[in-house]
Amino acid sequence: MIHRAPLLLLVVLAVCCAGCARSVPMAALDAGGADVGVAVRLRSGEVLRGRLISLTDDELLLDTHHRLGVDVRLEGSAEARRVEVRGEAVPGDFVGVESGDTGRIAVVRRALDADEVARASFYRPAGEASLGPILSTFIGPGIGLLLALAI
Amino acid sequence: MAQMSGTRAAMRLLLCFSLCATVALAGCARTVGWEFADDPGLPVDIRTSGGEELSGTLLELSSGSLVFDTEIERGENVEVRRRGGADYVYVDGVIVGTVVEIRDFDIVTRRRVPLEEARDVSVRSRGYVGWGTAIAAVAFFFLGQALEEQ
Repeated sequence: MIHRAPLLLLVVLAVCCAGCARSVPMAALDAGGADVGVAVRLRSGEVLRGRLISLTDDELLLDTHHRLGVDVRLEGSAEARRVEVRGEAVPGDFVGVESGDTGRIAVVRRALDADEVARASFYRPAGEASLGPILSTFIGPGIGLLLALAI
Repeated sequence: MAQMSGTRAAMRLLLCFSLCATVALAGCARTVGWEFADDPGLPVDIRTSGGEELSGTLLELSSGSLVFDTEIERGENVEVRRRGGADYVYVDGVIVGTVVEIRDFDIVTRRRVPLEEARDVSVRSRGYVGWGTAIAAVAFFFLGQALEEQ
């Protein structure tokens, strides 16, 4: 019985791996549960960094984050809530406030016309980027060796 | 003897369980946060308005075009020609992109697809295992059997 258990667990492992991978349309990244980082340089020279929400052929939607502090404040109330940096309102729609290890972060959603964008670079989440090589290094050889020993 | 066999089986069980736990807990957990990789690169599948299906690593959106690296298998219809200080990849006599790296079996090629020509762009996320994993598994299976026979 215990001899069959490793094989059974390998099946579970394969299912887990297959379940983890997913293909998410860039037009609906947020709904699909995919995190994509983006750094954007606009034609005006402004530089933005944040999380990409969607990318279509005419629009780029992203969440930018602003760490609340002395210079960065939340102003207004209810639907008129906005983020101000040194007294200047941040363009976009206020989404909410997230709590992180480094303090409270205000999230602002901003839609950009594709023509406004001079350049945008796309990034994977840091955790996923570092975990990928580790898993692919160990899982393949691990499965092979276990199968060799189990059969 | 029976005790040794039991210990070995328990060790295998523990190894399998560790692998499952690593993937299930670390891999499948959605990593929502603001920490992203230092270098750009996103595994994507792109279907163009011409019906072409491309896979590669999306680097950026520049001048209205998606810029990505893809692997083109080397063959008789694939050639590299130098023009104006850059190496271009030709497939059936048509330029498809610039050379990033020439490898034994394929050429890593940087291509551009205008955004309006990209019909479906999908991100492949959390794809931790691929063909490399399968090849490594087969290789280590035979290695393991050879070691066991010895």
